[in-house]
Amino acid sequence: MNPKITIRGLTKYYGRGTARVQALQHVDLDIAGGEFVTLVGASGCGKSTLLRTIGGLEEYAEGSLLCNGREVDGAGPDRAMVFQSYSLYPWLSVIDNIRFCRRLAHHKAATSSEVEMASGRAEALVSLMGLGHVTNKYPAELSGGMQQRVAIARALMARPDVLLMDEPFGALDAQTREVMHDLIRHVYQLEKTTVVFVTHDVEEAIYLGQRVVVMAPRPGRIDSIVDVPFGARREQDLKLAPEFLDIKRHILHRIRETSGVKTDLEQLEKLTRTA
Amino acid sequence: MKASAMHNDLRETAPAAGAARVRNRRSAWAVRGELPGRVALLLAAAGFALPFALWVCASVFAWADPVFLPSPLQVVHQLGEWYADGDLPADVLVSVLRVLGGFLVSAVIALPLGVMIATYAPVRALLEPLTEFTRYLPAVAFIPLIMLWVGIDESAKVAVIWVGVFFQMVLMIAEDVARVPGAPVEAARTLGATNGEIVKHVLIPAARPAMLTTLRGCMCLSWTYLVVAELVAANSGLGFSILKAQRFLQTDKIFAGILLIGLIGLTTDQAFRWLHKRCFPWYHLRA
Repeated sequence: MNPKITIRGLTKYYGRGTARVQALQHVDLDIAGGEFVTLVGASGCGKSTLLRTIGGLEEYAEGSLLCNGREVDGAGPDRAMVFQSYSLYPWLSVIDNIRFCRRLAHHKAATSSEVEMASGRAEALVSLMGLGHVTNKYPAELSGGMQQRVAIARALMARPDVLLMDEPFGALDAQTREVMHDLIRHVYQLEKTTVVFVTHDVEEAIYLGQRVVVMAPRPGRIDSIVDVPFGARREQDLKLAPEFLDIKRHILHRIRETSGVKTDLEQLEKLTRTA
Repeated sequence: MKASAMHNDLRETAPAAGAARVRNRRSAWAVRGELPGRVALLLAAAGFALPFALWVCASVFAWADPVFLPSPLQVVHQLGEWYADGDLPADVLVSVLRVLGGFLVSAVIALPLGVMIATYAPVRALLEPLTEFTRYLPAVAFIPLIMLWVGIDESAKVAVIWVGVFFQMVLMIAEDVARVPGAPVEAARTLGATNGEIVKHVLIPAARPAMLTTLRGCMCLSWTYLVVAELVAANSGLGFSILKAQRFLQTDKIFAGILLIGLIGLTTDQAFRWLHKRCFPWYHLRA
């Protein structure tokens, strides 16, 4: 296995003095090139922090974090990120949002053949993401699901080694989310990028990922890593298969156990009785 | 088949569309209630007409001495005389130029400086507290100093307006840029944008609508400093004419001058609004 991302002993704190909170505690994780890894856990488990640290958007002082064997020190075009929402450029049309990275020196085409290739890629992404009928619209004219398609296409346009996704479908309705799941699986198989995907939705984590990294809060840490035994081709009905449900049950139990959030039924009954 | 037939029956017995009463409609007086466009326009007209009517009444029924409150006719007459003297267009022009001068000199410095303050922490730390202090300094009190330092020609008038407008403008522009949300900035960063590229391709384009609104507000501010500016050795201009009329107790001319400034201001304001809609159609999509 040739690791694309190597994380060793990554530890991170927020705040200072008495307000200091340990956000990540000694995280070890290897992510192979071309792998689809999902990070799942209760809120406060540090999954987004870990992703943002990989993306170069959060500082870290302890431990090591390598991407392609090079130490991660700041954001870079090899690690493009898709955010939960509102990250598009509202003054640019859909196609100009997708082509945004072409404005940056790092992606500027030098020769005419490069320009041609880039415009071909933009068009390919438009049709891959099903955006053909909205290329000249502004983001504000699109639904949330369509906006996220644009955000994904914009990230892919930069041909990143690693695609980092921070709860990209968290704000979408359940039906749109299903469509996006199959779309992102399809894109992943075509593009063969490495994907690190953060979610709080266990079903989403299993359906999309080859491995599910279960994280636990206070302090944020990796609880366990679950291998997903399903192949590359996945269909929605898989979510109802017994093996799928077994994995889902196992992960949900881990999250419930580690998050320390328990519904105290007795307490609840007492409250309703007095009311 | 049967179900759809029944559905049709039901529709036939339902009241005609015209007779239907809209339910759950909020009244115009409800919190964030809505007003039909025509009614809103009518009310706006009434807002102007009402004080005007009061003014007319006051002069017709002689509620006040005409020295204190000239009649509308007197003001119009005065305006006509002002025009007949040949001074009016020159006064308007010179005042517009002074206001525009003060406004533009402010904008040319405030725009880049505001962007720098909002973008780079060291610039913010160095200049923001100082600017916050300076904006409280009264522009009027600077007049003697400006006369000493700048002189008494046109640049002095522009300088007074600049002192009044510039410091507010810098802070407002900085605020506009600081308010650009984080996700688009971070997205650019992970696409490989350098700091300069983030400023050029994300922060400035994102803040443009807010910056134009700030400029609109500052244009209004510039006009309020005009009269102050024309205290400095002026011999023409709307503010100067108002000040001169004051000396001769020509209240009708004071009224004419004030109304003219209001009218020019309103026109510029509308022009800014139009420009905003024209330049940023994407911004006006979210209603």
